[in-house]
Amino acid sequence: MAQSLTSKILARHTLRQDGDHLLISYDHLLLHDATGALLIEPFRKLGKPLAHPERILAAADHFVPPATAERAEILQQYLDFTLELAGIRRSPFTGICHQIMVEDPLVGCGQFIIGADSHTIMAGALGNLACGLGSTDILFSMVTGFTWLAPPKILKLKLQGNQTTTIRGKDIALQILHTLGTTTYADYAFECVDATTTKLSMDSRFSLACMGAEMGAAFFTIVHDEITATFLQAKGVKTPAILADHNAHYDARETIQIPSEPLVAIPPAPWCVEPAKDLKHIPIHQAFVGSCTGGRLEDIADTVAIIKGKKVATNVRLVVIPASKKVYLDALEAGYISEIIKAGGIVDAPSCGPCGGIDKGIIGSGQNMIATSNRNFPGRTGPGDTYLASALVTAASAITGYITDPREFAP
Amino acid sequence: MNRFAYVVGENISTDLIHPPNFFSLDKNIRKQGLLHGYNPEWAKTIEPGSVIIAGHNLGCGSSREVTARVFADRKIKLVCALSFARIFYRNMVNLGIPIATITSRIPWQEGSKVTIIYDEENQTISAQEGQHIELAPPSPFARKIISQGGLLNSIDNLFQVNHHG
Repeated sequence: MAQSLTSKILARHTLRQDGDHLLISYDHLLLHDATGALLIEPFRKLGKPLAHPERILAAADHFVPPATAERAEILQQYLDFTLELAGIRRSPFTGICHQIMVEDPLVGCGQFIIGADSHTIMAGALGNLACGLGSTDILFSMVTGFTWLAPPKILKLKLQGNQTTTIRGKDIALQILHTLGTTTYADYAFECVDATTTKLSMDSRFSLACMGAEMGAAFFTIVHDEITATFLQAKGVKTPAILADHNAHYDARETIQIPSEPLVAIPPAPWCVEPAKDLKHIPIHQAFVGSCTGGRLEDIADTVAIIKGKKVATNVRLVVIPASKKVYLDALEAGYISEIIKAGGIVDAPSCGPCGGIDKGIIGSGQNMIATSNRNFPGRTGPGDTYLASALVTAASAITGYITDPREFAP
Repeated sequence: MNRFAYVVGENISTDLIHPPNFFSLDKNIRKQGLLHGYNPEWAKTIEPGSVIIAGHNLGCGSSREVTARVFADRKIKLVCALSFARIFYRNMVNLGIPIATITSRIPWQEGSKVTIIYDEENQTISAQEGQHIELAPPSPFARKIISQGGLLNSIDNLFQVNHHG
């Protein structure tokens, strides 16, 4: 029978069926300081060995560097704990866990990846099945070597149209959220085909796949093509691509047209979407370029393209946090970081920053933030209001002091 | 036996269920965060044994397991919703916290506190005025895990650990 990419990856990793659920083995398991710290005590209580230590990648990114004494204690407990786990891949302070996952040369395509964070789904951009889980789920998988899963329904999502110079993966994610909402295909495995004429960059695809979490997707897999192949080759991955069969069965099909203008998600949710040009009446206090969704080299290059030679608006904080050490070094080498500093921006070390609402850069009551991050639920990034957009919109807004369509800055 | 039900609306995110500033390894700090983002007064007063009633997509957002664990910390009897977000649902099952899907209309306004009787056997919740909702239990697999007291308690009984998989 003709199979989807999702079905093929699932079949390759299914150990057995248990009633209405599958038991699935994983290639990689991701830990970070905030949710990893929650499983230290239960892990010790359980007293079982790790099933596959070499498949575990342990990052530290949420409290880096810690903003409070309690966070510093949580971080240290976690770091000490990961040192006790012989044979795992430790990578603290090298960036946001999802970014270091896709930069890791062991992470290819056709793999099954789990992590103790909802945006683990991002690794689907390379043609993997990747999903976020809670701490107990992760602890269970650490000691058993598998996870449990109800076989998901599969949505084939086709992206169509022509990407203009001011449209990025973030705008496309917001267009999908605007069109499909978050419950229409809740728990579906999204299998996304990039049929646009211009093809999305890999950085834009990571941003798009990240937002699969906000779409309610169980997985957001972007089918392997020449863009994926180039990215994987550059980091030395030789895994052959797995593709869907022609005439494969899907439970649902949708086609999304690339939006013609930059978009913004307004509070209270990522699926409340308006064109950037209609939001000029919203003043901003902070502009944040960073997070697993919007802190890559493309985002930083876009920021610099807008702000170079200009100054951040009076009383506005522009906070830029590269998603990984690699992104940071590449941005330094390209001269981007010095341009951001000269324009009056604040640059912080690779970490999640204000995105999770538990580290530096959060906003106070009555303040508005425009951000390249992924969620704007009330309370997510502090008590103020958060608007979600691409780095182009975010940087343009940092210069004017209100939400701004970056086409106003186009050369 | 009478108990209280607290009714919340649609798309109640993990940030409303348990705001990030209550994230802590200290149970006493965690406990204070229950529904604090939705109603700070409720966070102080929700009684042990209460029932939470929600609309669609309860628990959308973060995977932070404290957002589920807090219901156990506060000894909530049942969390029911028209639908649950994926990770939140799994977290509840994995921690062995009783959940159910609401299969009827919710007759009470969001934001209200209602005196109810929860009939576990017949899976209904009814109020004195005659209004009621019907419930469906989670999947057989999830029920097995909940009945064992959560996923970690199920490892030896339900899953054969195979280190060579």
